[in-house]
Amino acid sequence: MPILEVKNLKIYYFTPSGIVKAVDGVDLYIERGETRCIVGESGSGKSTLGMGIAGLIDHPGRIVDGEVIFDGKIVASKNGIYTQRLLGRRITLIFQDPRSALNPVMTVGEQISETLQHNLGLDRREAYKIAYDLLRKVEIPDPERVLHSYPHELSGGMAQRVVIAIALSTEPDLIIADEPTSALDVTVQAEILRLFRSLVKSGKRSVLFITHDLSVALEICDTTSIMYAGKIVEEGLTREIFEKPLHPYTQALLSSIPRIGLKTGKLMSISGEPPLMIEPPKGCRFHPRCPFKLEICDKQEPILINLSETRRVACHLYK
Amino acid sequence: MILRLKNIGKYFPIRGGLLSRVVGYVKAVDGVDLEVEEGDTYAIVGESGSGKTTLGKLSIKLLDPTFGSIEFMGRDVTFAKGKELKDLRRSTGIVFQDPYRSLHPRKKIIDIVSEPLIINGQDPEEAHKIAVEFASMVGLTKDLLYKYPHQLSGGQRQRAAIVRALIYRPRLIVLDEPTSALDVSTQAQILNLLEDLKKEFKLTYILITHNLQIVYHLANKVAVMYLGKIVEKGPVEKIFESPRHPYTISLLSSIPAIDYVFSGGKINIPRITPTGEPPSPTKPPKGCRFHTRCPFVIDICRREEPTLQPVEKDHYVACHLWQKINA
Repeated sequence: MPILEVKNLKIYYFTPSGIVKAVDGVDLYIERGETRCIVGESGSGKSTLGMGIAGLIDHPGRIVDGEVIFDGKIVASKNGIYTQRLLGRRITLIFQDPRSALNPVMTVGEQISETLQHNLGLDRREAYKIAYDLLRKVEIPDPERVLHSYPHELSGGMAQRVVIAIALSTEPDLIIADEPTSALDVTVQAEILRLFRSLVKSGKRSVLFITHDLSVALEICDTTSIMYAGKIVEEGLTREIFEKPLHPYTQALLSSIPRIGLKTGKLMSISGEPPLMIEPPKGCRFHPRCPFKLEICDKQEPILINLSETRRVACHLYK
Repeated sequence: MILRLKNIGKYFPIRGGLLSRVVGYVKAVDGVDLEVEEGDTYAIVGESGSGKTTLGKLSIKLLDPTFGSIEFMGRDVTFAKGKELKDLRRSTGIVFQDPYRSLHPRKKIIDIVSEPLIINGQDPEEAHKIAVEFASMVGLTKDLLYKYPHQLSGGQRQRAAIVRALIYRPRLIVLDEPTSALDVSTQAQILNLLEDLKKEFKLTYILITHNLQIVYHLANKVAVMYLGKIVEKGPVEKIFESPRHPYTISLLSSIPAIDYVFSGGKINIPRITPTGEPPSPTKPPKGCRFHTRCPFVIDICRREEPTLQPVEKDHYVACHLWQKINA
């Protein structure tokens, strides 16, 4: 049984200017120990999906249809959200900006041990001891000093290591990480990605990793789902997708990344702009920008079909 | 030679205490030489705090240097003012990273982009006409010109910022992380546009970025900065194929999925990651500034600061060990 099942999830924001259909019918399965990337551009709904799974959608947004099933139980649907008791314990979150995730007036040691005391029922002394070990595990060179530091005294990379330490502290079943390295410098990002991957793999944690960067997905994830305009348009092993993208959107996305060692002259680019999610295009949502548009594409919405055990695509070109 | 920076530096004072006395300096740029030829796209790469943005601003005198000299098209403009400065302003332009903040939120796009002309005495009607012409060249339709910045997408806004930088027909444009705030598909559009405009207007670019893929794609020369100094510079192909400075190597090997992104095994970089994070530019380490993170550090690195040495024609590196390091 997968650790996470998302079935036909729809999350809409009810704004004064209209209903924004941020996530509009997403199915997603994550097996135990699987690291899954959600790749999409801004406005694709990838962050809303992550927040929806965690049960953290705020007004004016809400789940209007579908359900999130965690470890066999429905934890979020339009009828209610039941993730509170899981969050911070069996499901943990890592966000882009580590400093806003940490409490600025508590030392790192207090924050980690608070999590441990609250969630695992440890006493203060035990919690501090484990906090120290955790900081060593995330390769912080000077754990004793960092335990007694405040978040503003840490660099971005160090702060993100602390957040990762907290996220791993309760040995969660699922970690949701939303662009955790996008604010970091490249050399620091490389370090954090390597660290995160090794910790996740050694602990057999399941991960939902949200990013805009396909090459980050290649570094970190077994499997990837590509999102466009509130829908998943393609899924597969990350390497498969990178080597042979099937959906025209994925193809365009990949060929618009400049590559080293390959002077191509012009970059391929996707014409136009992503659609407004108040009034997404009829039929396939990518059809106004698609170079391979068929007759059927603006009439009928393609569904995700299985092409192999690992590969799924939602496009009329594959029938 | 369109631009020559000689031993240029910029120190920002840090004030502290009750009387706001100067308690130290951020040595953002600390003795840099740079020669930009006409038609170059000269990339300056580095991580945050390396001084790359400060160097970009110095090169068109948006900041006054603490020491060193700036030569633009054969003239020393280090202390330019009055008409001379105005001429310099007219021959240079800049595009910033964040088009959300670099465009006036309460002015219409057309007024923002034609403002430089109007300030210089052009008739507003004429200026608007020129703006429409330039806008169509960068792919902005006329109706978008009569909107406010918040009504445009990120890519459209960046196009507007490009029009504003271009409307004088300058010789040199500084591009400061021009696509970092954009999605990849929009990024590709803007990169293509920048290449087209360069040909069309015979421009020279100084491209400031942390993204090495963009450097490879757009630039012909590159300087790698670390804590206010250039550690390696030269032609792009040379630097990417045989980088000599350990920091350059680590930057290259930090690109996610580099083995995949590098195609055909043409470039093969050992994966080295520097330990820790860059030190603060207020107190750069003694000796080689990279020695605290360098995996190859030896004794001399802690004592003596390496100077830029020629590896071969046009390729320079500042490392005591460069002859032993061959990636």
